[in-house]
Amino acid sequence: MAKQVTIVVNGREKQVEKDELSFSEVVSLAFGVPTGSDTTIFTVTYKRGHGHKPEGSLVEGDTVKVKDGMVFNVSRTDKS
Amino acid sequence: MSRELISRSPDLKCLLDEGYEVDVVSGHLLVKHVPYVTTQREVRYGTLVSTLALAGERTSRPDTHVVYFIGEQPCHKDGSEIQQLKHQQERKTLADKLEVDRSFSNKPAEGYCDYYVKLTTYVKILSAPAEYLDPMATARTFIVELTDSGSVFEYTDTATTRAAIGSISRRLEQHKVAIVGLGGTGSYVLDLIAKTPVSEIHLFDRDLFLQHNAFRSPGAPSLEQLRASPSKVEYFAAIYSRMHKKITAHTSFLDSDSAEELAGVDFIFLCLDSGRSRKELVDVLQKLDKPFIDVGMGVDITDPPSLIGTVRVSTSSPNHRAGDRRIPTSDGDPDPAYSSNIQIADLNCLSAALAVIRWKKICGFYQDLQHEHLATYAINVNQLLSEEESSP
Repeated sequence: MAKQVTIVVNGREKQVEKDELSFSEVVSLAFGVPTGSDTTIFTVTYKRGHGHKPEGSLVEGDTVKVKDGMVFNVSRTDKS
Repeated sequence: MSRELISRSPDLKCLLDEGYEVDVVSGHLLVKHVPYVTTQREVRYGTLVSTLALAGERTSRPDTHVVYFIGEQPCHKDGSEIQQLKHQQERKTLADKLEVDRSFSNKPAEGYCDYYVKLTTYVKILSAPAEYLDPMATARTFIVELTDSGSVFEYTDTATTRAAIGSISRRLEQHKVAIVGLGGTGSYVLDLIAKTPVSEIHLFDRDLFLQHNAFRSPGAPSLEQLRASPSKVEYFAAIYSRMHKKITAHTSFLDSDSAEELAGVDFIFLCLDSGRSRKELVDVLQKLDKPFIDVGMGVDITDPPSLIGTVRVSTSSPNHRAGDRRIPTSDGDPDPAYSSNIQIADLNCLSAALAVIRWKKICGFYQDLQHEHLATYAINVNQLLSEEESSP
């Protein structure tokens, strides 16, 4: 049974009871469940994760092991 | 040519380094902005002109102690002629566009050993009375305006010469660069690129420069400038053309039909705020096999209210194209929960700086050991990530 961890997603604390999260789950935690077929591309980065790869980015289809205190940032980096 | 001559001649380089306004025109050495006193006891500025004895690509010993002057008759602080100069009024045309008013003769026993001694001797004689009347008057302005028809700059980049990185800086020459989108990030990219010796800068944007744009661009327009509602490309071209001669403003909208305008360009900075136009242009650029950098930011409001966000710099080259899961290419859901149009000047500036630094690495200006094709900066954790590493 996965223990509960507190992570930060887009600046807000979230309680998560899973060992790992998928790209879409992280996006949902940030912006809610997408309505309809959304082709939006998000830039998803994390920091303070697990030892072997504590920071990096995710693309659709990826998963990452979560850790207490891990910080995620989800953004549509499309503005200039 | 004049820049080469000066760098090879210690006496000329010394004059330049000490801040004299040196130039070489039609084989003559000029020292401009030399203060002197007129017969009316006013301080004016003139130009000393000397022939140049050369040995190959550098100066040799001055062949004459005589010097010419563009200006009025120089005097002592009381308005009386300076006898020491053995002044002779003779209007002469030394070369095309080089006319002088008089000549001076001040001959030391052994003649002048080099042009530094020759010119500084005359500068001292002329400027001493002027400095007495106006302590701020000086010939040593550190302004450098070399007649150098090959340069893309209106005035010499002395920041590069002072730091002696001219040979490294040369790697930025001969590039034709396009900046597509002159919004917040694009305008900061232009601010930085205009300070490099690239051979051409092409600006593409069809929008007008409006009041809110002022708060996301370098510089500070006046209310009058805002009222004129200039197009973005014309507004920025006017400012940066004061420094870089080769800026071209295109008020067209770049899409797959007009994109052949990019065929002659070597490198493109995509600074767009629309996913859809980004997609079209990315496809075109990949088809034209062009290297480009695409920048984008996303800023959102979190709880309790403050801003969070991420800046992204994607580098795309013929042997490393970004995957289609990386570059935002759709306009997505118009729901405000998904779409934020917040942009902040410092983030525009950061995006532009990261993009230009990355481009300079491609040119060989900066060392690159990372070769990242994706860089992201997450504001709230101060995290700069390098990913998609591969050889250039």
